[in-house]
Amino acid sequence: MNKKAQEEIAGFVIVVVLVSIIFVIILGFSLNKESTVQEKQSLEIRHFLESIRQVTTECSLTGTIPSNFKELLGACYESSTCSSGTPACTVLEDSLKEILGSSYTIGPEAHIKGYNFTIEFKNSLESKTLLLSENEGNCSSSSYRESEDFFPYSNGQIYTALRLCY
Amino acid sequence: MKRFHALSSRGQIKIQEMAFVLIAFVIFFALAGLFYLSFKLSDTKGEVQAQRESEAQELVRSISETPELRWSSSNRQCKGCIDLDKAILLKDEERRIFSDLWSMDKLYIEIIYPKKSGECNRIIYPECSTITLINKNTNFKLYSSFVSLCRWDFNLGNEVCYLGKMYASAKEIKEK
Repeated sequence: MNKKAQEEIAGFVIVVVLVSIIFVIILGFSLNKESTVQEKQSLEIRHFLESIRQVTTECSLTGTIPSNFKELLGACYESSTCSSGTPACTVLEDSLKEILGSSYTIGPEAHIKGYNFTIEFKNSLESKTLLLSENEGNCSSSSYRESEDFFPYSNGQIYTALRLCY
Repeated sequence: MKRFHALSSRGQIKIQEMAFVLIAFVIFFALAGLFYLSFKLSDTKGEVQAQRESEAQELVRSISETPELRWSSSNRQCKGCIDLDKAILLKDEERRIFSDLWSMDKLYIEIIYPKKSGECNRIIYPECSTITLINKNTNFKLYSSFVSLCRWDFNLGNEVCYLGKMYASAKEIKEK
């Protein structure tokens, strides 16, 4: 009788242990799936990308009228220079740094740990040309928000993409 | 008779054992289910919160599309662009009407880039950073959205646009 009870207790423990292991495996899969949810499309970043297009820069491509960011992106793709003699891509990079610096607080102690801003030209054949890549801080974390914006230019599109890492 | 009693007692013990095992299983699965549900619910709550934030941001940005504030450029489409000249006029002239029109508790525009400082008035405009259109003393959460802030520069004979943020708070936004 005593031996039989011991066997039943052992059987029960084995069943509980097996069920626990299965539960932990399922939970592990579930949590792993949730971590990818941290990679979200951000409406705020999309608004940011749409808004910077209109911003007036310090580069004048035609005479004395300063160009906006969108025109500067095209000029950078064409490797044009501003009327001051500075390459359009240099002005673009400097303006971008200032804009991002004014818009977001980045740092190890800040909520946003880093960013990655890329500007690419994609033509109809899906070939990509990287025009500019601007990085700051630490962007190795799997938790980030990002968005992209594009507009037609020449025989393709110019894409701007921003990723903010948390 | 004695044997019958012994068998009956053993059977009762077996039934009790089975009942205990079943109860233990039910409790275990109930706890596991609760644990899993709480995880799922917290995730859903986060998603709902993010969705509400997005809706609020979209609502704030939609204010920039109203005729009272929209930048009207004849030669290009300008999404989310605010006319700074209209905003400064509204600040001075029609604050009360404006406040009633949108039932907002707070509404202000801030120039983010290039860096400027101070509250705008007609004397220092455009060398200032903030245009406060509505400012009631309430504690509702402020929502913001990036916008372009444009004005006509008479010296350049051309439009000039800045990067800015529009902030708004209202009971309606909170309850959405």
